[in-house]
Amino acid sequence: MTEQVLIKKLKNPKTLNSAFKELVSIYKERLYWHIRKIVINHDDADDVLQNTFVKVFKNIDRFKEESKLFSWMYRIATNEAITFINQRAKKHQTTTEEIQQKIISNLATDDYFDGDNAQLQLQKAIATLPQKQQLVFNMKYFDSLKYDEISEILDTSVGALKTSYHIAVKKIELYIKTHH
Amino acid sequence: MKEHHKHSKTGFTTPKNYFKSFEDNLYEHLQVPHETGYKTPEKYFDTIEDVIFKKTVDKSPKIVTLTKPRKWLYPISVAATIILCITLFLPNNNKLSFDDVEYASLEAYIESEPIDISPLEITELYNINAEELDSINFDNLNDTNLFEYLSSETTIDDFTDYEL
Repeated sequence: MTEQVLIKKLKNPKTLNSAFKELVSIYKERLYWHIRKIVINHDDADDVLQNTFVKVFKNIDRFKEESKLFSWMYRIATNEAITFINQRAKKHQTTTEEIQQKIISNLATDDYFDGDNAQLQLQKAIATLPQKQQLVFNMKYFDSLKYDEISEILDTSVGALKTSYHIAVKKIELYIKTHH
Repeated sequence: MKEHHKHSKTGFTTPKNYFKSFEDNLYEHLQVPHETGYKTPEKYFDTIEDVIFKKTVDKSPKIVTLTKPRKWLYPISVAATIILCITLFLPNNNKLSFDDVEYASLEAYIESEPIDISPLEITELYNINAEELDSINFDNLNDTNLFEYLSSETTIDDFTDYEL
């Protein structure tokens, strides 16, 4: 089923339910891993993924097809994940950076992390980056998204994204060298 | 160095495919893995669909629970509290007293409701001490005899004459 056909079915009340099930089936894993890299913890990622799909379902009529459906969903997932982290920081009266550092510091004992030391170091390095650079690095490095796609999701110019990615890589390189 | 990639404003250039090779070489230079190390519970992606569908396409009509606090309940509670305070603390010439209770209602209540009276209250009520109370042999009393005694001997006056 092409994206155009899927969108058409999603916007038709008679075919909405079946089309939505198709949508979830196609994108659940990609969105989950995108969210997981932002919130780090599985249970949190699970909550955010569900919220993301609920929002997609409720707001599908507002999708104006100015971007790809995938980009629109990625944007919702990104916003939901960042809002989740910010709310948690607010609840604990701290910053998002401190919250992330705290989660990362417990990563080695997380039941749902089986990475080796290099993977652990990489996650720690990513957590030191500003939020925007983290997003760009994760999308580019792990998800292999194109700059055009990231630009559509984050509403940022390709040039700015390239700069962000370049700076992020340099910082990670420095972190890993100094913490090796 | 041959100019391949020119920045539009500054005039600085980079070798061809510099940025692409920079990204590609990251793993080789730093031994940085391309996997995150994150994993999910077993069969998570098989079960998550049903969870999402229950919240979306299969969502049943909203059930209003009586026990769940509702926003409108708070102003009503505040209003009720204010009315109660006004009723209790403002001077009131029409105060109800024990005498206003209908005797028939009171009698019916005493007959029908279990009344838990402690031994101490019994000794005070009948002006006897605890030793005298203990000396009374209740073993010979059965329900029939007790009921007949209370029906024939006890009136509402027996209760209202004392200041309980």
